Amino acid sequence: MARVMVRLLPGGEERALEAGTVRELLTKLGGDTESYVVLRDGRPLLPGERLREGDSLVVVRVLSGG
Amino acid sequence: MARCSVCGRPAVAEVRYARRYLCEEHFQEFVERKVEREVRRHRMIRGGDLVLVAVSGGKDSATLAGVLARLQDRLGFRVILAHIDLGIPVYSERSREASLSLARELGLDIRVVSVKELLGYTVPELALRARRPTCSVCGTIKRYLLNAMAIELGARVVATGHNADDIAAYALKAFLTQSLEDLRKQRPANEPVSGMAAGRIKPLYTVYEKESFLYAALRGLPFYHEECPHARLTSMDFRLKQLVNKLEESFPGIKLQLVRGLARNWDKYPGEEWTPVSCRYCGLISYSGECALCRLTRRVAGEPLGPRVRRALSRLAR
Repeated sequence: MARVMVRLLPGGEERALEAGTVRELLTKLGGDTESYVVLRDGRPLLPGERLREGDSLVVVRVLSGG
Repeated sequence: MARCSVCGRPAVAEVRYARRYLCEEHFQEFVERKVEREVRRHRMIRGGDLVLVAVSGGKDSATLAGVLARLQDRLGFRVILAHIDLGIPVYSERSREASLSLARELGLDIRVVSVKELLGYTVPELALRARRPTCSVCGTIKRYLLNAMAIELGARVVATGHNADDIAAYALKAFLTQSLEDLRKQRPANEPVSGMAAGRIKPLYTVYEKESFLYAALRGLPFYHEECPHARLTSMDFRLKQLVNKLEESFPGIKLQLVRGLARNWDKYPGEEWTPVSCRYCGLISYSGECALCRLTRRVAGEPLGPRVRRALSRLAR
């Protein structure tokens, strides 16, 4: 488990969370790997990628509203 | 670290339904090939066409414009961008800036029109006066203006950024509400109607919304990724998109199967082809002799504004 800071887009809300992988992080946020993209330094991470302690991530909801 | 299935470089995307990991370069190529295949399969664009690409400032239209800009030389057509300023505070200003930046980045011509300048009211003001949902009025106005711009500019087709997630959600909604005739409207391409309507094409028909975001982001295309303040995350469309993506996680490719099936079968659903009639006021396409914009503005502004809009767009096209 790594402690990470995430910024959620759209909106810009910030949260501190603990998760081991991108997939786990998205599950904690109530999301899924098809509707969200996680970026580290602007680079997209794959769903199975491990998170690092102190990571600062951007979590983007790619689905637009109706 | 996962490696690109094509070249072995570090992967930035996993395309589960194709059982592939892709690097930045091969992911872009993958999306471009997908779009080109759909454009060819449904004969969306012909050699020599001028294609009016609707750009909202968001990721889908950035991807659409970016891909078509790369395909235009090989397929022998020309692209021109069109942006409609809806007059929604902050959101419309940012969307306009993003659309202009996109045009600069791609080196494409862009025409920008303002609903307030053309009609005297912004979209939210029109919706309030018409006592109709903002999104419904917005749709009516965008469809009319894009069609009118295409006619004035001599563009044979209007390309929009509807992606596979949009199509899948509309299709499921039509099935759940048993509005099966709506399934016919989800075809990938509509032919033009001489003098009245440009054709309408959806080149991103099989591109997932996530792929569209990744393409625009990886190519560094400018786009504005905030939600329209009038969009509702509680809407059935949005919930259906989430539902389809949950299914996609468990059954990779189910979304692609749905949209590809619909592209093949849309004409098997009930509903008849209608005979378009020229609007008695502005001359553009209508169901019954009065187009949706002329009807709306006759009620809201006391006169049908289609003719005024067409004159203004004609000056813009010169």
